[in-house]
Amino acid sequence: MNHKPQFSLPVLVRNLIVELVVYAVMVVVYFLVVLKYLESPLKQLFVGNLPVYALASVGLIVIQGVMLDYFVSFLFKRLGLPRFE
Amino acid sequence: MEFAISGVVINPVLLASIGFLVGILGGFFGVGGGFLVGPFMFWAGIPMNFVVGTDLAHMTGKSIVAARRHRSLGQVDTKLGLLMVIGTIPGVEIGARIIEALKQSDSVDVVIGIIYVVLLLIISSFTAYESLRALRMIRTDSLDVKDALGFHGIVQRAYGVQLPPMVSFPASGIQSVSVWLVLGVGLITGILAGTLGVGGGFVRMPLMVYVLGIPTHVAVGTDLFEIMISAGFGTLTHAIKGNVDILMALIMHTGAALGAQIGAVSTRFFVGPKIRLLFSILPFLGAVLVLVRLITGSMIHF
Repeated sequence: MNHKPQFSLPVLVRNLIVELVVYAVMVVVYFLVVLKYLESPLKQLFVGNLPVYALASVGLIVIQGVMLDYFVSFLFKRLGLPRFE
Repeated sequence: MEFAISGVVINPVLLASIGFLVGILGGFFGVGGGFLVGPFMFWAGIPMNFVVGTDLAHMTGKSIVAARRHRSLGQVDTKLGLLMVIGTIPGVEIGARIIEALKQSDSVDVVIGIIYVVLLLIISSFTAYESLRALRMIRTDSLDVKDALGFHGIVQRAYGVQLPPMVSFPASGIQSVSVWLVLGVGLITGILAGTLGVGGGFVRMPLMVYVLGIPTHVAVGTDLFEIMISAGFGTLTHAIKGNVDILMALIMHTGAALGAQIGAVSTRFFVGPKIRLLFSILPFLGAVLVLVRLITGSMIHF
């Protein structure tokens, strides 16, 4: 049995474009602000204390993963756009 | 931009873009995409030990998002995923120690590169052949797509392994299979993950489908769930060994997080064999990238 899409393609495309634009703006701000402040302390940890660096690495990527997902969900709710799920 | 931890100079926008593209592919095929990111990172001049560790870190973050999406679609067999992790984690540690040994002998780039090429070509060929067979079966025999498995015999032989304890996976429609088979799949993919810096999904997903007989859509979601845990452990152990540039991973992940969501919902549009056929192209592309770097020494400079 084939899976038939149960959604509107224009809605999906609209969702995608909005998401891309907002994401692009967020990413640029993120690069300029957050990563610059993280660079030095992370380097110091990498050189001086690898176990703590390892924990910090896992923590940062997990936090970013969860935050980005919530951010996109929040974004779509604010924009009044239905998520395709 | 110079990344101080790994000492590599690379454009961060390009890293995010690659993460985005691989995120789409990963969410769609239920794989981490490391087998594409890894070759590209290596091609860009990043030392292979950092490729391995950093790739695992970026996949940890990405798989959290994609797994959540697939879970909301009812495509995650949590019991299966957790059982496989028991085998995967020791495998990842073994792989990480292999990397350390290769670093000692200064041969990590060549050895891992060759392993990448061979494995990716095997996976690509096998998956393409099987999926084309399955699509033919659907057309000629009017076989339901859920039953269209080009190598049904492999699944039957796997079920013939009656080594207790036996376990069932109701969410996947599996009534009885040896737990050692599941742990074996986890261990093999864990070693690959720890050695190549991949999520292991490009091996785990075919093994789940062809050996364990898991429906493709459930294999996709469950694989991402398992990657989330195994890649997290892989990040930890490789970071302790000095093989992770977390800034690079964070940047790649900003693109991957978006791409993964797009890829996950796209699975609703394709039947199982078609997903597998498209999937077979990716490992081939990865092999080409690594081969070019090994043979010519060419690097992308951005």
